[in-house]
Amino acid sequence: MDCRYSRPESLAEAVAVLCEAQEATEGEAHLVAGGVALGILMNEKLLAPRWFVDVSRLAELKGIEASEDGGLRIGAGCRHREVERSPLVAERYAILAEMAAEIACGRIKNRGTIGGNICLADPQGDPPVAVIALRATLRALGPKGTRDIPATDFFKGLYETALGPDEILQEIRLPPPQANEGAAFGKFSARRAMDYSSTISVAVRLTRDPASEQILEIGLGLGGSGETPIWAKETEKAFIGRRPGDECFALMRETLFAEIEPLADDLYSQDYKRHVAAVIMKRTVEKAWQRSGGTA
Amino acid sequence: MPGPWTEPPGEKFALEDLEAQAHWQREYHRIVRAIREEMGADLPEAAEGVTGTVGMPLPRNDVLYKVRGRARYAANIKMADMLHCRFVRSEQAHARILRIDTTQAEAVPGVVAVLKGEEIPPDRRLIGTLTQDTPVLAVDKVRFAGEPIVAIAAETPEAAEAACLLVEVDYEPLPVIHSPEEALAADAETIDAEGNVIGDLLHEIGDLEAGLAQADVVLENEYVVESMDHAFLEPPSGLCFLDPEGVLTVLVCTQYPHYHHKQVARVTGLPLEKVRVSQTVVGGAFGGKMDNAVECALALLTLRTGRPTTATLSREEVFTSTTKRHAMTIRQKLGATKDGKLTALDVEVLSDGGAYRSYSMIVGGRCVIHTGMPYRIPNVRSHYVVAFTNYPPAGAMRSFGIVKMAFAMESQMNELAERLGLSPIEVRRRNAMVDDDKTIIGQKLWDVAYHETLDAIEPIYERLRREIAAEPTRNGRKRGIGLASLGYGIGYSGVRNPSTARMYVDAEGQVLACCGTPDIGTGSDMSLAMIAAQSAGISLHRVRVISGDSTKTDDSGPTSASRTTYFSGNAAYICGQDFKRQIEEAVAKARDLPAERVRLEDDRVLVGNDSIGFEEACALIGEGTEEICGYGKFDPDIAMDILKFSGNPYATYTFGTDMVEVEVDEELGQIDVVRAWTAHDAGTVINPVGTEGQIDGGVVMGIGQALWERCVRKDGVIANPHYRDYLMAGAKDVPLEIENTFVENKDRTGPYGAKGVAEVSLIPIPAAIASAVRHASGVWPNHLPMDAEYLYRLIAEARGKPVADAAE
Repeated sequence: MDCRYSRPESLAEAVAVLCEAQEATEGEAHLVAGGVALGILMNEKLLAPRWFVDVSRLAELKGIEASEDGGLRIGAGCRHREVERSPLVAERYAILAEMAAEIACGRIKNRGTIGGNICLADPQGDPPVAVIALRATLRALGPKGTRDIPATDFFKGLYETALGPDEILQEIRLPPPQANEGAAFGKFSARRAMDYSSTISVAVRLTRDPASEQILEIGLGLGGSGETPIWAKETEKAFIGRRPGDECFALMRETLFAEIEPLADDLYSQDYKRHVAAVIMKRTVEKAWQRSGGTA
Repeated sequence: MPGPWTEPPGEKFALEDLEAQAHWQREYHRIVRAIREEMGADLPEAAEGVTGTVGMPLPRNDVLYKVRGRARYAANIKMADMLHCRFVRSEQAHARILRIDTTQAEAVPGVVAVLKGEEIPPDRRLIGTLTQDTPVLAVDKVRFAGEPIVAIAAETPEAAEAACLLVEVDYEPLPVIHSPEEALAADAETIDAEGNVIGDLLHEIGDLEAGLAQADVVLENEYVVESMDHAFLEPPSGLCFLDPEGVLTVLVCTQYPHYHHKQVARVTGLPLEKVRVSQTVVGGAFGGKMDNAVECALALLTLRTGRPTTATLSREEVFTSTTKRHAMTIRQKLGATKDGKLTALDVEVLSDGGAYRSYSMIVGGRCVIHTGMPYRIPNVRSHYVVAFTNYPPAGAMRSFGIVKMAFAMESQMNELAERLGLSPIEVRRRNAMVDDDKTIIGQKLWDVAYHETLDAIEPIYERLRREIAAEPTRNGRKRGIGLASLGYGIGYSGVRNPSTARMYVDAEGQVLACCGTPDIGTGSDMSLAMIAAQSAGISLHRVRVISGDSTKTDDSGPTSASRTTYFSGNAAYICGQDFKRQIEEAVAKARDLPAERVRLEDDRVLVGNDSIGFEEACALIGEGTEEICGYGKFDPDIAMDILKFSGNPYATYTFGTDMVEVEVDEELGQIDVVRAWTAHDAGTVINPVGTEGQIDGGVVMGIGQALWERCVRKDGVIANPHYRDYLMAGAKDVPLEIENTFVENKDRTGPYGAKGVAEVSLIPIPAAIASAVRHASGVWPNHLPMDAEYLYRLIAEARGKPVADAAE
């Protein structure tokens, strides 16, 4: 089958080419950044793009810098490995480095990009969970200009995002860290080596009220717990004003069960996966709480 | 007969000139030095002029080719005018084929040949290892989803794939048999014309009931092991062509080229001398490359088209169509007196043989023969039933079933130790086999150093017990240790399986050693070169081993059953002696001396009072070197009456004990194997680098099979036919430490005292892990794999918690 390939020189050109390509192929054009998931989907014959728009070398999608408001800007084209090893990330958002360290394996970390992974919206993906917890803003460029989408509104369905077919995710913008903040990332996988099928991941960012020793605010994202990366809205609310401990976690477990629906798979039942999600959530919240300066 | 000097088209490595090699040789020697320093081996380099290398830790010379991508895997060999073959496979687990319509497929541009089973003459349609029961291509019935029905050869892989999708097969579904229990039901649908039972084997010694009556303790358990895949990285792959002399040549990754040689001749109707099968570099086998996968179809397509034809199975095809490890249920009763003496063992195995026979009977026979090993038990009953089901055929896999028998036996030994308040080492010692003990089928043992493996593990066991008693948890996880043992017969079970070797030399002093059993990635070519060189008295660097070519070596059986070092090693040893004698005689003749005045040793020939180098000696022999052909055949008297289960089924036995330390995350049910120790009686270790590699590999494979590996079977299909969902141990799952001990022993029948060691370290690992979990968390897993959910539920149940308080 005929297949085209373009490598635009700028992001603006990339948007233009993407528009043209989508129109020409009736929506069967595809961006290429790291090409990891794309390769897998093509090998499994789940995807057969007719026009590849290669954005892997665009300078505008690169770089990790502090933003004006004291937050952080991560180019969507940054490789997982860059996120894992960035000193800026380590200093301000260590949870992202912790998350990136857990991604698949070295070869994939060296190729795959954080933006590509977010746009894939795989329910098992790790970066989506982290950007939900961190309340990141996802900035996209399309023919109508720039659009900022809150990460919590980004994931719409199984492999479905808020992004239009002609939009390109440009960068991930993280709000500035706050006082008494703690964040952590936790992951369950059947084995230590690269695992994909039944992973369950939890990202937590919370702030602690030093006066009451309670959770003041919390962001909670879960992977492998439903059809999309999950924003555990209700559990977040329930955590507020509580102090992490056995009693708290017993309650949160019930709340969490109401808003996740892990898919049973060849390895594990849905019940067991719910249980695992609750355990990983507990451990990750505990870790974040300790990092915020809270005592166990 | 002159030696086969020319580089054959099946040459396993793409050779280069010496200049191109130089850089890599230097790199290689740098690595070798580093390894030797790490191993503390103060030994000379195995470079020119070094003789007597047996026992030296020598890195294999094939690694150089492999790390540089110069190893020739079958899938990478290209030939001009080559066709690509793809298979249409059954989508039904059990069905009659009503109609196969290939009209549309044949019309696809680029399609050159479409082959159906009915086009093969009826007397040549069936193939098989022991019984010819497996169609090359299914004709009127399919027995499992994944069974090949049509083979298509086309100019491109894409054209072949497109054509496969256009083949229409009409089925009449038949009831699907999912388990041996279903297969044995009175009203079960019959899978095979001869019924659903593949084998029903029974052997008894002593008086079981009396033995159980004598026992103070009788344990009764059921153990379940699910179906597993060999999970080799390289999928079955081959290339077939007609050479200029019209010989049908198959290059293929295999454990047994001579088997394919005979099968290809059978299926094509060609005389044996018109066929050649040459092994390519094998990327993992583990028993899964001993049955037909692509060979016969490629041969037929090449004959049909006159063109080279290649095929490589996709990963999905590997999981759904190649042989598997037998799923088994083992019910076992073990009786012992209160001082720990075993009095009785009753074993009842129900095994899932899949859709065709493959090696099912060999696995069954081995399981019966090994019942109770490595212990003395006076009263034993072993009953093994294997039945057909509508899943891929179960065949040979590392240990031929003994890893499962050991999971049951060793778990019960550990439970017995606990019941009696003895250490697991002590309870084993009280029953351990020694020289002159007999196996349950009456074979008398010799050179048994099983006790010594227990002695080697005991201090580590005692130290770890103390360590864990002082610190029972680490990072919130419960710690535990467990051990298990093995006894394993080397080679075929109860049939003669000779190995041969031949050695040739040219006037420049280059030596070729042609050995019958192929190197399947274990480094056996290196070990055989070491044995042949030492036996002949020449330097290792002169010897190049040719193996795996059905026309350059005799049929010496497959590389399987841990047999190559022992069987082909013995042949290489005998061959080396013969070669040495012939060189001595030829030099004597050239110098006109009596033969006894000439001696070849240390790579030099002592001629009367004179001493000349080996090369000089060969130059002296000159054209006479063409007459020299050392020959060695090792054919131990192995004979067993399969019906009565009596006789001497194995040429020797290997023993060992493995121990592991685990950490258990009880809240999740996850097991981490953090350290492992092994002690083996492998006789003399020929090459410690290779041997340790085999042991480490067996431990890691054992961890995967104990914790994760499982072919998920759903409604007649394998539901996880890819590495994404078929989990095995990866690099990060390897224990931080694997410490290997080889106890000092020499097998009087082995080459330089060696036994086989390839499969053995795997055997005790699942039982050792189960016992370590018991130590850590107080539960006895009796199911493989012990995945996280399984263990979580087991622990929850034991603690009286609701099994899944996550539910509803």
